[in-house]
Amino acid sequence: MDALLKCLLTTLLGLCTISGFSQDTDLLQVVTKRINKEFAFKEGYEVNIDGDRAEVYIESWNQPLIRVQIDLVSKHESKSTAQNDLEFLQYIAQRVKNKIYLRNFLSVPDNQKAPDSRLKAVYHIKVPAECPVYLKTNYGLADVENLSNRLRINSRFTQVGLLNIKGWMDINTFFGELQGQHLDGNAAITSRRSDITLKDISGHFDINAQYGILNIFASTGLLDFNLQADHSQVFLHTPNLSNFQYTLSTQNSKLQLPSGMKFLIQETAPGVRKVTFRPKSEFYPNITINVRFGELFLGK
Amino acid sequence: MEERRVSSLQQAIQNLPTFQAPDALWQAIHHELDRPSSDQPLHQALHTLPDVIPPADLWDAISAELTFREKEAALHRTIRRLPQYEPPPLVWKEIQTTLTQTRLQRTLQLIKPYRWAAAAVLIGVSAGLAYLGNTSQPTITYLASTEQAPAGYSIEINDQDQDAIREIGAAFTAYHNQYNDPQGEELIQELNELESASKELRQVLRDYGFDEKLAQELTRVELQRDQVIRKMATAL
Amino acid sequence: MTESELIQACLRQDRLAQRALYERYSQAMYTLAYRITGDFELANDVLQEAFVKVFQHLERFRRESTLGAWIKTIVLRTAISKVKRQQTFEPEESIPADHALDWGDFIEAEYLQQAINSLPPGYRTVFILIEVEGYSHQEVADLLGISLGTSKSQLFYAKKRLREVLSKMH
Repeated sequence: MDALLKCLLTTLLGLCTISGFSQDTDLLQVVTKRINKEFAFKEGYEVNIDGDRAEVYIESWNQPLIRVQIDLVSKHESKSTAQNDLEFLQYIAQRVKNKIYLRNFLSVPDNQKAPDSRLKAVYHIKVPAECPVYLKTNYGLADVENLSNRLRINSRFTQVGLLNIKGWMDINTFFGELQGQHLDGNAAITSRRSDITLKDISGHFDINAQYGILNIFASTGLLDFNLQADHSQVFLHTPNLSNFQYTLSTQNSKLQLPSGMKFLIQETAPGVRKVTFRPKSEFYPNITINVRFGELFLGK
Repeated sequence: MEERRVSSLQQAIQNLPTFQAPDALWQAIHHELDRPSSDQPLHQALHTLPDVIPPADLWDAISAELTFREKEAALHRTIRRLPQYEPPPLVWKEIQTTLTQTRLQRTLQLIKPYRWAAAAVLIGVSAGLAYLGNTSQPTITYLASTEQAPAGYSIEINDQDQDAIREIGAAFTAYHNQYNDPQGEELIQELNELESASKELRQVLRDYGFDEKLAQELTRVELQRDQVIRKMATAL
Repeated sequence: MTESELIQACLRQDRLAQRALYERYSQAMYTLAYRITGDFELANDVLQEAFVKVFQHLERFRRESTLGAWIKTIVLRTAISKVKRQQTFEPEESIPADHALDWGDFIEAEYLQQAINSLPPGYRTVFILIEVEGYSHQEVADLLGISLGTSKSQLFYAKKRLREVLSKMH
């Protein structure tokens, strides 16, 4: 018990300190190496980004070009330290056959001291909307807008923002957060310990989530929605509730259903419930949700 | 008919031309046979030279070399597939300019009275070539600015505060091994995952320096971990 | 056109012949320059300087080697002189007896290129010359003005570093 108290106090102290209890006002020297490069876009080309401690901003434009700006940033109170440490940040911006590779990584030789500066990379990328993008990002941020072909994201400890994405989406997140708005297409999302907020989603969605808080706002264009959630809180909002067919299963979970709709509830085993609803219309989209050890809220 | 053909063949065979060996051949054979007998001991000695036995560790060295080459095989296969690069068109233009300048310099010495006209041509050619841009190579620029350090910037991320966590985790694992609590396995896996995430983020904060959002993520991870620790402590 | 005819035409300052000679070797030489310098901008400079030397000194080519080998030597020396200031060679260190590194079954070529680019200039030059270009340790020692032992230990530590960088990339 003493050990537990000690642990909780330490975390609390850490929270206070990290969130701004100390009032440092040092001036930082910021040194940036900016790389600008353009690649012609041809059908069949794709962009592969591997960002480590990176902020990645991707948007589309109507030029047959892929324009890349990579900023390698180093910050320290001493300018010479910032400049020296900047050399440890390496980048790649190359095309090999039909793939454009953009990557950054830290490379510190064995016989050199680890850098003292704050280091990161910032990507600003413009691609044609139909250009497939594969993004792998760790410990950073990703903002992707207005793509309409194939998007694959593999993220760890990253805040991912998607806006107006159409087509095929395959998203894997580990920790961090996923926020999406105006997503329309075939989406497969796998997340562990990430909070997910999706607004105005249409098309087909398959989501497998563990240890997260999920806020889903469906639109009338949603055709098929499958969610498997473990140890998660799920809030599903649909505009016209009775237009969808629901198959909801919960195991050791709280379930809250909207009033005014007649759901068929079956308790198949202790702690296991299955809830169904079928609309009166001939054709309807399907919503299938299975929640274990969590909560499910369905409403407007 | 058949018999006539055969006999014609036999006749043709009989009529095949014959050839005379050249006179020099017999002389060569004769010379060989008359070789001084003093060479004999040498030939005999050559035939009775002892066999040389390779040193015992030679096979070890060969085997080590083969193992070395096998281990490096993937590296050498990949070296053969390393990308090749095309130089940008501007390089050839620059080479031509330089060669033209060199030739012009030699010519200038010959046509000194007209050097100003020649210089004007040179400037015109250089300016024209420099105007032709090249967008296929990266342009690199360096920028410098300043900013205020955020609060918490100078916090050192160390692992000394983690001992309490390990203590409870170890105690719970021992408890679970003894009583085989069904939920225990899941709690231990959760703790391991969150511990591992915490370590990973701490290492990233050390490698790349302090970042507010990553620090918040670390706090979130450690709060989740503390919830697991609380459950473990309650069970103990 | 044979190589001999090409050389003769270049010596006559025939622009088309010079262009043909340049195009015949430019990709291989540019690739070599980039691998040594690790930088496209520097590789551009190396290629430009080297080929200017090639055309200016072509009359000295004695055909003791092939034309390609002669051009390669010029490109190599030019590239090495560009990175000379950045190159430091660690003092000769002993290589462990069991110095074979395990590279696994497959390495992505672009990952290897990136890993090579990340090597310090001294390691990168020795690695490229020996493993990619096929020079011997003695030739590399003569070219770079280092000892045979230094060349061998540089190569070992270059490979060790590559292995570490590649393992982080996967």
